[in-house]
Amino acid sequence: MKKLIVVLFSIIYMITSCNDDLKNKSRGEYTNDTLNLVTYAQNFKIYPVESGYRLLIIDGFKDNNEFYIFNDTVVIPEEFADKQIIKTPIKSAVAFSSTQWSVFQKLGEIARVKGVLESNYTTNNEILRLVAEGKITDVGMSTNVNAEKLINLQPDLILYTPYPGIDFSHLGELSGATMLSFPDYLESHPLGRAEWMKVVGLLCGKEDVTNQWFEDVVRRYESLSYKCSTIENKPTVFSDLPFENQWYVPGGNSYIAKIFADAGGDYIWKDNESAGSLHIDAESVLLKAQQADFWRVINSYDTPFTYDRLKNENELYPLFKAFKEKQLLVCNVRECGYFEKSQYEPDVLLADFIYHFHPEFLTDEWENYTPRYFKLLVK
Amino acid sequence: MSRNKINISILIAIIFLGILLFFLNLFVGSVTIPFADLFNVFFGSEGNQTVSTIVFDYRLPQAVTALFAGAALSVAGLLMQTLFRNPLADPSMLGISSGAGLGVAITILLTGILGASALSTMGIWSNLGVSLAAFVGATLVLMLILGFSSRVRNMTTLIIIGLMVSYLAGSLTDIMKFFSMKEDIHAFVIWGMGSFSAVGTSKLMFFSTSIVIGLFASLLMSKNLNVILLGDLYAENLGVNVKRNNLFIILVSGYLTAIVTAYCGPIAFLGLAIPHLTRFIFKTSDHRILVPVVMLIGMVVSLLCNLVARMPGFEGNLPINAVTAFIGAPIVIWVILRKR
Repeated sequence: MKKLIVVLFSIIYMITSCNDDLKNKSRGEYTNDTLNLVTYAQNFKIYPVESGYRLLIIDGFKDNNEFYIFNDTVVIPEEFADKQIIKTPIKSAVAFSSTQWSVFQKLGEIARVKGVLESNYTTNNEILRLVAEGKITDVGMSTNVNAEKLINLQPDLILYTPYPGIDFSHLGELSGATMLSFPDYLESHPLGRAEWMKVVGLLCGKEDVTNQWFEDVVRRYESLSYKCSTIENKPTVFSDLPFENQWYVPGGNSYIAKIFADAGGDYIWKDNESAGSLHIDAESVLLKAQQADFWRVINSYDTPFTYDRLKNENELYPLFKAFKEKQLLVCNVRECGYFEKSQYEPDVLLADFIYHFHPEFLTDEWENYTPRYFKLLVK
Repeated sequence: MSRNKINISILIAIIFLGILLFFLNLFVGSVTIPFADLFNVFFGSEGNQTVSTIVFDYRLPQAVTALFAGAALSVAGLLMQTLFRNPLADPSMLGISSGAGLGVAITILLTGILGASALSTMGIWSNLGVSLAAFVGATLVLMLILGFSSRVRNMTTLIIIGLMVSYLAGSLTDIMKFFSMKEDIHAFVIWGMGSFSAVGTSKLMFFSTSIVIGLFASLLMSKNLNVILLGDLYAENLGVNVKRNNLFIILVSGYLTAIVTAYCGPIAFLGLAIPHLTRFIFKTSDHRILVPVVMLIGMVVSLLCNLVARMPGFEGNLPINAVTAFIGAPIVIWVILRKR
């Protein structure tokens, strides 16, 4: 038995130390960050190389995530001949996530997108129309990609969202497309998430446009958060509706927690260290959030959303102060395209919360601002 | 006509049905391919590359996987039903599928919960990850059951132990799912739905060879399975080492289930239903006939399920697990009612 334990521990040590080696190697290779054109995002890097760019995706799931990007008109330097090359602007792509196709759309390049996933969940009229017209094919769900339809599209590139334990590489092998991982959801800084627009800009040969957009977003975001940085009287805020009395709330290091903080809010779970979501039962939420001033709710409703309706859904809701005082900040994703657009407008999201927390700080270009995503539920 | 002649005619019909279904599996899918294109990729000199990829690189490995998985699960079910002399026994009964699920949960979910870098993100694991984890989980449970089976003589006791192990593994998996982030549950959900498409060309050789070994072993056991039906005492009088025999049956059945579950996810129903279907159709309890015919019918029904799961008109493929019961249950009820 002792021997068995020793062997087991040796194996575990070997596996973990091997992992460290991999990480160290990666770190060494990627440290020349003076040239990196990416400022906030942690999960991708762009380096200028002769006549093009080197794009590095760091998703933790796959080793070979290095791409060399050249304009179609450029003669590719010989030293890159054996690398994974993407010629831009790409001719056809399949985009697994709405955060990918929405940038193509914003750039006026949606015609390059031949396939999407889960089009039935979007309310974006243009995408729905293109799917109906057959110009874009719905290739299934992220849990169940229809490989046949995808192969049939013969895309140059597949932009996929990587998840632990899911291997999409067979889709690339079958279709002959380059697989480009797009782990934007791993970014915990709002500006880091927004910066992913640069990747799509690069693919469309419009990196100058997305760089400019991003600069503007950063400028607006930073100036707003700077204004709010000295606020001392911070309203408390908590988030989300439960499912069967179990709350999945954003962790203290998450993207939305950062926005709450930058908007001069006091997030109930700010001390938590997770960048993902926390699973909390109703009792604990009541204990911590009952006296919170604001309650952020994001949901999808096709009928009017009211306090009465919420009360009928769950008898715990009226126990919260934010509910009693009608301080729910609600985003109905069916109306505002939250999941596809808000990621690239963190400045707007920030302004939404400042509007509710400290409206007096919305001055200059934000004067007369009306919230785009999160609105106060009045009735 | 004698029973034998009837059986032979039925057998021939089933073989033809199997061949037909196999080709339908290649011809029909969510992308509608014109007949001329299909003809070209099979017989023409220059077929359309995309059509050829869809038919030979995607549909063919899937059909072959369905073929072997169907045979394996059905035989595993037959072995369990005979061993436990219980018509409700199936390969999942000994907790092997739940063990596989637990393996997958540990790899994908637990590492996520503990905040460590998930095992599935590491080199070889990213490709093999889920299959390997499922196989390790299934094998560990199988070894546990084998350990118990040498201690308990009564097979009913072993069923109860198997069920308890199954519940235990299931509850551990549920606890991990409960505490996981939704991104991490993604892979688990996909695996749990079952699919014949996960094997693919690269792993097909390994998968089918492993299954063939198990199927061959079960063919060799046919005689001993017949002896089991006579009861332990009778079997011992005939010189059969009952304990060793039982152990071997559990090993083969568990091995087949573990391989299929690892690659295709926990596929329910086939293992339970196909042996019944076969006994009803062929009216025999002779395992020298039952074992090969169960394999054959398992293959045919599995191909049928795979065909339905990928029928045009469905957005994406239906989970194979949903289809096996949906197609299989009415067939079994119909057969039982007709034969009464």
